[in-house]
Amino acid sequence: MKAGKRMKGVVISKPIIYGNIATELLSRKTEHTHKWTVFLRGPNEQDISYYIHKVEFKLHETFVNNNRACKSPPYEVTETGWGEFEIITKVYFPPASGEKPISLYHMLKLYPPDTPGQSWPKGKPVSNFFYDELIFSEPTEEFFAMLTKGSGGPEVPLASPEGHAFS
Amino acid sequence: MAHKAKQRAPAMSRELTSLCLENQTVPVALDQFQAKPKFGTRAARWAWRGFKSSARADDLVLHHWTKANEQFTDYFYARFNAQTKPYAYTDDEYGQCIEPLGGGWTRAETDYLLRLCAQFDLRFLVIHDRYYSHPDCPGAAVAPDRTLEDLKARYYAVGRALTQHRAGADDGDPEDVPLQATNKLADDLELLRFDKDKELERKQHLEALFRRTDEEIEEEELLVAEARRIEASERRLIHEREALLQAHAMFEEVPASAIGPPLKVQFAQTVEPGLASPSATPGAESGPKARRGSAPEGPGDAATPRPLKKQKSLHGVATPQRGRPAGSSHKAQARASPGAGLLGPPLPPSALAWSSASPGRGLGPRSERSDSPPQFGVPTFSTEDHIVKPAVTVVDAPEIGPITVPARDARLGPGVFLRSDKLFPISKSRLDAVNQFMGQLSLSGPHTIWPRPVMVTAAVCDRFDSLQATILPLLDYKKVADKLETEIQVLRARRRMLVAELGAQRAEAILDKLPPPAPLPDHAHDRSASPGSGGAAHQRKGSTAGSRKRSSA
Repeated sequence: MKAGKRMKGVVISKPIIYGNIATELLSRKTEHTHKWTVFLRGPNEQDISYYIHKVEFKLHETFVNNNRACKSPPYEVTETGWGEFEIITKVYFPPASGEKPISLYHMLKLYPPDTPGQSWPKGKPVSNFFYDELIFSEPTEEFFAMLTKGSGGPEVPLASPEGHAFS
Repeated sequence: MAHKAKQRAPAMSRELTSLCLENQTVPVALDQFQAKPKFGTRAARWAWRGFKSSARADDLVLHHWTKANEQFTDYFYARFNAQTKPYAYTDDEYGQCIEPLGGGWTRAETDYLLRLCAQFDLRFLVIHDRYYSHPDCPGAAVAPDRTLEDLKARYYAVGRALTQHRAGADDGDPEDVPLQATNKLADDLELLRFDKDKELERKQHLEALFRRTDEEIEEEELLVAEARRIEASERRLIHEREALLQAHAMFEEVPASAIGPPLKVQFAQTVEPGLASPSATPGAESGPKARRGSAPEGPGDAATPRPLKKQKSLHGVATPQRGRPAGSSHKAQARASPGAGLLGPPLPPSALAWSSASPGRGLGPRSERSDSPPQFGVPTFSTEDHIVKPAVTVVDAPEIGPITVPARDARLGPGVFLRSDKLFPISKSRLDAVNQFMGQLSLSGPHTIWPRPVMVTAAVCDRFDSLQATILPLLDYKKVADKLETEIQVLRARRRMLVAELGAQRAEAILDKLPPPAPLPDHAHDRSASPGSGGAAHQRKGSTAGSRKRSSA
């Protein structure tokens, strides 16, 4: 597909958070022990849909329709199950970008970590997040415009204010 | 044989000996009945026939057995009767095409030559031998002195001229069979090509080759073997060179904002001279410094680093060029303690914490952010969505060109990547060592930075990469330092033993006679100052590496 001219030397990075939350099912109707949600979102509940076209979550084969696609936010899949497996999150970018989809891998975590001496309170969800940044190197001009335009929603400020503890 | 066998084993009976120790019996293949193969066909009929050969000029009839039903075409071997057709030219032809050839050949001589060629079937050695020396030849006042090449040249020249001429003429002699089956003039001429000079040269080469002395032959063989060896390892060498350059390039361009100058010094230890690469990073050091920076995975030759010297020079060079106040090093030191959050306390935006701390530190990145707004006007990276402006902005700093993306990103090439994928890779063999080291820094628990930082922002990644990049040479040096220390221990022990043997006084006398020990070369100094062997300097600075080393030593 003929994409626009690529801008040399331009690199844009966008932060994302992906992972899963799992809660134990208290009433066992089936042999599923946990209800979990795998998701991909922007940090601070930022909107990321302006540069993401579609997100595909590839679950384990034992799930019906194990390729779950989300074309609009929230990019998440909620399911019940009992096993932990690797989920492949494939992020597709708008066709205007001419970029190939990128895959993120992470293990679905259901069971709380083994901390000796501490027990995990029942009902407390187990969460497993990863922070990462998508680096768009030499984006096409159209995509550059899309990326820089932003979503117009609340975003992390560009310049860090002085004195801020975590800037 | 039997005698020997008997001597060796007298206990065995004669029959047993003959069985075991004599010549081994050969297993005999029993006769197997083989039936006579049956053919379905009847026997062919053969006839005693006479035949003639087209290769013979006479009418000789010879006889042989042939199959009765075979037709006789020609004697099978007549095809090998190759004959060279001699050139025959008329006077006209001679005048038209051969005489213009020149070369000092008279008509008579050319005729003579052609006659000889025909007679001897183009065997030039014989022709040359007989040329004007055989009693048969026409009388000549002066026997011309023709070399073999001369004769050949003349013959082929004549042939070329004639072929050319005859091909041009429409009324071709029907008997004039072209030499090549393709019927093309070019091919015929190709066949008649003869380059006298080349022939002479070729013969000279062959002579030289034949008359090589033994030494020359040996030398040639050595050279060939050497060349083959180089070719074989060429791929490996290129690969190594590439890896080296890549490793160097990667860390030449890490922005100085994330790595203070002492860290650059660390890199400069393993510098390879001349490995310059244009670093367009905004926070990058000035030109000479950047050029000197190189990968920590340098040649790994512990003899080369000279951190003390380099540090001084770098500082000397750096400060005036930077022209910025050196920040206090206290914060940096506090930060260097392990486990401190990598994002650390923020910097006053106007100053980089320019620590003039020890060279051996190796672990203390000075400033978190390359925020150099005063000079460059554009933050180069931060934890948020931020566009790095392409190299359009003009910058005041004279030695650094227009600002571009941190070169770490410029090398990425088009496409989308995950930042966590672009961390500096560590080879598997070193993974464990680094892991252990991280553990000692208490950084290997979950939710810290090993094996992958939790928050892979640009700043974090840079710091992480620089951290790894310093750990690896650190481990190398530690290994070398350990080795040296054990050597020293061993030598000391030996010396003690020897002194104990000789008695103290005699030992002193010998020592006095010995020449004074050579002044320690620089690298020994540096090694002692390096993080490998904990020196007093480290104690003061509280370097993690130093303290760790001392505690373990």
